[in-house]
Amino acid sequence: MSNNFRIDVKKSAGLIDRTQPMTFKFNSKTMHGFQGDTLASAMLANGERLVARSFKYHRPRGIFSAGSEEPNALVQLRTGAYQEPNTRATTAELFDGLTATSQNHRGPLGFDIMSATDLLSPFLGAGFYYKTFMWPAAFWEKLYEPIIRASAGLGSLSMLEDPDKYDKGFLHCDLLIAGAGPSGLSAALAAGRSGARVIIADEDFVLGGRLNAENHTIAGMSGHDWAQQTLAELAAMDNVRILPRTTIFGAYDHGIYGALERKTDHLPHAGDKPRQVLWRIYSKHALICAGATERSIAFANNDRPGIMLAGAVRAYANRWGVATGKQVAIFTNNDSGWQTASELSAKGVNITAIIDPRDTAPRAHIAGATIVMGASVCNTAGRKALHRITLTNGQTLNADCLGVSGGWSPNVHLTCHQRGRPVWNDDIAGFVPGGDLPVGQTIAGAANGDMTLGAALSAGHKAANGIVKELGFTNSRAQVAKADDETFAIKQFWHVTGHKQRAWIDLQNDVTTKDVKQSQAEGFKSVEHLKRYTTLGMATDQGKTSNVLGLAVMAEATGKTIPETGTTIFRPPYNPVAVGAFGGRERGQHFHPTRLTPSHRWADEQGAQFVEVGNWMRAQWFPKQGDKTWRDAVDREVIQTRASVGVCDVSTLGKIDIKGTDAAAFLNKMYSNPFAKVPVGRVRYGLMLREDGICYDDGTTARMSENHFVMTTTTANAVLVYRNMEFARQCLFPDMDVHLISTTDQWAQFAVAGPNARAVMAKIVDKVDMSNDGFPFMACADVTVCGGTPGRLFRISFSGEIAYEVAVPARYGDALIREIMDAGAEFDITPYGTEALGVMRVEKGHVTGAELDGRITAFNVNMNGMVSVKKDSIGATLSRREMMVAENQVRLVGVKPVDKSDTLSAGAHFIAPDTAPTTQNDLGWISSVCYSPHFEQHIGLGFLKGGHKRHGEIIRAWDGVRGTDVDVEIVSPHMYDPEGGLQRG
Amino acid sequence: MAKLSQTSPLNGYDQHIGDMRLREIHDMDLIALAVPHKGGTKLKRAIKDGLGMSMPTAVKSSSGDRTRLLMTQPDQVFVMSPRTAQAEKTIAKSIGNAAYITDQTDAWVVLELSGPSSRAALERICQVDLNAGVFKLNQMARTTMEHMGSIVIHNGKDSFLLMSGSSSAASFLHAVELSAKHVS
Repeated sequence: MSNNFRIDVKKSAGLIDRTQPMTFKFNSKTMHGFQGDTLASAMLANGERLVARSFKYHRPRGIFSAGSEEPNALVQLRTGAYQEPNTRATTAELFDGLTATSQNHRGPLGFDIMSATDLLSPFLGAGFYYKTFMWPAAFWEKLYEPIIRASAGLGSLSMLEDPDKYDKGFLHCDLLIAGAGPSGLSAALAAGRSGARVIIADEDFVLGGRLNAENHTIAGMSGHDWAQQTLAELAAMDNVRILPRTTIFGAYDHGIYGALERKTDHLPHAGDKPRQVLWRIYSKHALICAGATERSIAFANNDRPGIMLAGAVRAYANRWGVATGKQVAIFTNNDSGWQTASELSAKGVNITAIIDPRDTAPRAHIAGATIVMGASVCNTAGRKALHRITLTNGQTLNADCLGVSGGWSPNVHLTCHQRGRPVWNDDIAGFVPGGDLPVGQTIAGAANGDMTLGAALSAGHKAANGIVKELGFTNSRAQVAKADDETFAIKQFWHVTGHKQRAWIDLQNDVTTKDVKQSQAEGFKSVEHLKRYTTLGMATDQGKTSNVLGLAVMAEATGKTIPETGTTIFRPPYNPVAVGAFGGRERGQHFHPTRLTPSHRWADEQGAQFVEVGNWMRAQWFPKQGDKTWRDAVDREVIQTRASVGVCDVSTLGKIDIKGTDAAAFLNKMYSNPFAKVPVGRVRYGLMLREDGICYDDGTTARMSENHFVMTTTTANAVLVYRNMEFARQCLFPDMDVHLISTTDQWAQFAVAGPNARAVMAKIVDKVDMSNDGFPFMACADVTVCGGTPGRLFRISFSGEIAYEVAVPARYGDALIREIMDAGAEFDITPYGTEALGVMRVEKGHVTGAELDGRITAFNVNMNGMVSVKKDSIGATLSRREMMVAENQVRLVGVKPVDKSDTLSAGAHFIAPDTAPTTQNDLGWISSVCYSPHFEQHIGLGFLKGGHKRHGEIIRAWDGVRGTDVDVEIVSPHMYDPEGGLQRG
Repeated sequence: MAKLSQTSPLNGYDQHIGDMRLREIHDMDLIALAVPHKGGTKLKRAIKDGLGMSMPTAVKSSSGDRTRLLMTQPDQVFVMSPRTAQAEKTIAKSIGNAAYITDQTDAWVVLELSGPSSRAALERICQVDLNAGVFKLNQMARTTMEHMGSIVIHNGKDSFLLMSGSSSAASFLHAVELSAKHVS
């Protein structure tokens, strides 16, 4: 079988390149096509009629249309991980080596055992599932649904990770033109010549729309040639961007349109380039020139392979040089069908009959064709391919292709995406856009009901000129291209009655006229109910060929007019978009940015285990040979730091430089405790409250000079604190002379802690008296380190040991960590990670995000004394609400298991001995736990009702989730060096 | 004690990708000048006198001989100038106490993407309209690229400076580099 249905090149060369043959496979059958073919045109040229099985009844189906409206010919393209189901053969551009398989059948396509479903069709009408699978309820999920899903459906996924790449992007223009048919090209010319920035996009790979499928003449040349000439002129304009293979799939707010550009779908391999790009197009104005889609007529057995839209039959002949049959019949209620007959006949294709339900004179004489006016096709025969049609006058005729035209429906989809509702136009028997279009959107051409060529060209030209003039451009004086208007006359004729067989309305969802009538009979008369009860128009084609037909049949059944019946509206996307395209490049590690600390490279060299902390990657611990578990490393780091000295990269903590003559006064407002009188060269711990009095962050702030403070925040809240302070600066205290700037990334900062920290730092810091008197606890200074590098030094401690934090510009961070390690070598210095940091802070009783969880006040953490009553600060007043300072409120405590071998778990609830673990008996919870190598047991922090007065009590830590119940002793949260002598030493 | 050596966030990355060149700019200081309350006029004069430049606007940077001024927010100006040993002190010599000065050199990574396809590459990650007729020479915009706060500056024909946080420099480079590769 090889191109037996290709029309002789002399009669119809089409737009294919017959010197470029291509080989492809469909269900393992090797076939041939040419460059310029679609998969559908190539299969038709090879005589392949049966290409799919229907969704519900598994009926044999063939190619129905020639565009993205295709309801039948859905195939799986490519193989393995590249396999993509539900691809329309009518838009798949043929390439050499293309592989396609049919879908939704068991056994071979020709002998689908699921076609037995068709025999049961009398029982499977609309609402069947809703009525039948009601009981027993337990059967639905495990029995009914799997069976239904397995028998009815579309293609299947490869279940492998998609190896293709996708990308996204942003485009901008004065005028976006959706559709490059006659009206779109005419509009682009007018707008482009005015100098406006134009983007014209079309889903086809050959631009021109129906000009490529018709025998039109424009300005004395063929429509296709005019389109090519126009495109060449547009391509030469710097202000015009042409996007072929690009579907405008959605109209969103503020003139933003979603577009999918298929970059490499037409190539055997995408290489390392993205397969598709999802564009967000920002337009000042959009002109929708989306054309119109032909629809069918419902009659008995109108779904057989070989029954197609008449316009598609014409397109295959004109554009691809393919005869869709050897004996082609036409059934049409409008002049478009006659055009198909004339043009095919002129190309030597045998037209057996033209059947027109209109009682008028024949529109044309077609040699050899039986012309039947005032009649209809009422039945067809041919299980896997059409071979005979029966007319209402009793006549039977042989035909292997029946072109049907029930009229053309304007493509109004993009006008509906913001709830625009189309209105009925009797003249064209179709819905046209209503008045409530998205802001900045205009419609032209067939999409607006201008159904003839001359009218479409003129409408595009006029609309574009009007738009660009409004945008401030001067219209070109060039006139619109001249073309004749073809005849366009239609009789509203929707379906053939007087039979009991099924007549399909929605081929993709297997919805018949009977289903629509049943919906009406059962009370689902509203179009919205009709859609949901029958699934009319709900498939991947969104009912492009079926919606109007369904509404018309419903209108007839209810005795209403179509305008009275109304229509459903469309939502994005216009055509299916791969989920991968919405994800774009943001897969795996590309999903979010990663922040690295200045010592990351060094830590990596040490074999550090990293942990994600927000976007940061922080060293969690530093394993050493011989470590059996992570705990070995963490215990070692804690012990070594407490015994000698350790170093930790704390650059991730938020750092905010605060400058200005009112900086101190501003901080006095931000922090609950006083800051106005912090001396220069001193650091103070601060507590920050939300407006409702809840603590949300804490940290230290150093006064580097009279008008310069350096604040540290927790890593997690760096942005939140900065944002809140910036809000306060701009909106609450706009008259203060204060300025904030984030310096988190500017500085590499290392905590050096432990009894030998001073000795190590003395080797690092230049010319600073490091004695306790010279640089005491909570001191700070601008310094130089390592012989002149500018830096900052803080005497602060999170571990409870004597400790320093030293900061240098980030570019020196890598060198500084190496110098600190060298300087500490004689003291057996250890790097420590976030786990050891966490252990030491729990031992010391310092709170972090685990404690400040959005419910906790200063009172709860025993710091109510830090909410100054001598000044006003954000959150201070509401923190004093009666219930927030009540005696029965929870208070921060330390907790140790009575049996030192017991473990603790964060989230465990405090329960009094001998009481049931109920909500009523809940006394509080454990917020942080760790194994303390210092105490040689698990310890924790938590919140206990009246906890500050219960030190020494034995209660239970009950964890219903993990199934533990541990006797614990309540202790001071400051378990390690409670007097603080070490850190001050 | 050895003097500390410097590293740049991207170790001086410099690559040609298709017809584009993508490189890290690591020989410039970046200093933030905060305008004291009601001190706009004084700073404007100081910039004129000390740097010989005009105040930038929110959308247009001021470009001088190897120095560029960016208005990064209503009361903040960034000075991008050749690297010195002590950036804050150097700029203070020029403008005195007309602004609060903060070194931001290490807080940012600066990339330069240049070449005929640079706009096509940036279309993939930058939502700012970079059309030559719209985003003219020396224009700047604060925006986001791949979730990262960034600044884009048109610094020459088909050339753009791209700034983002230094801690996520590798992610930022990856985003720009991948875009360039996708269009080359």
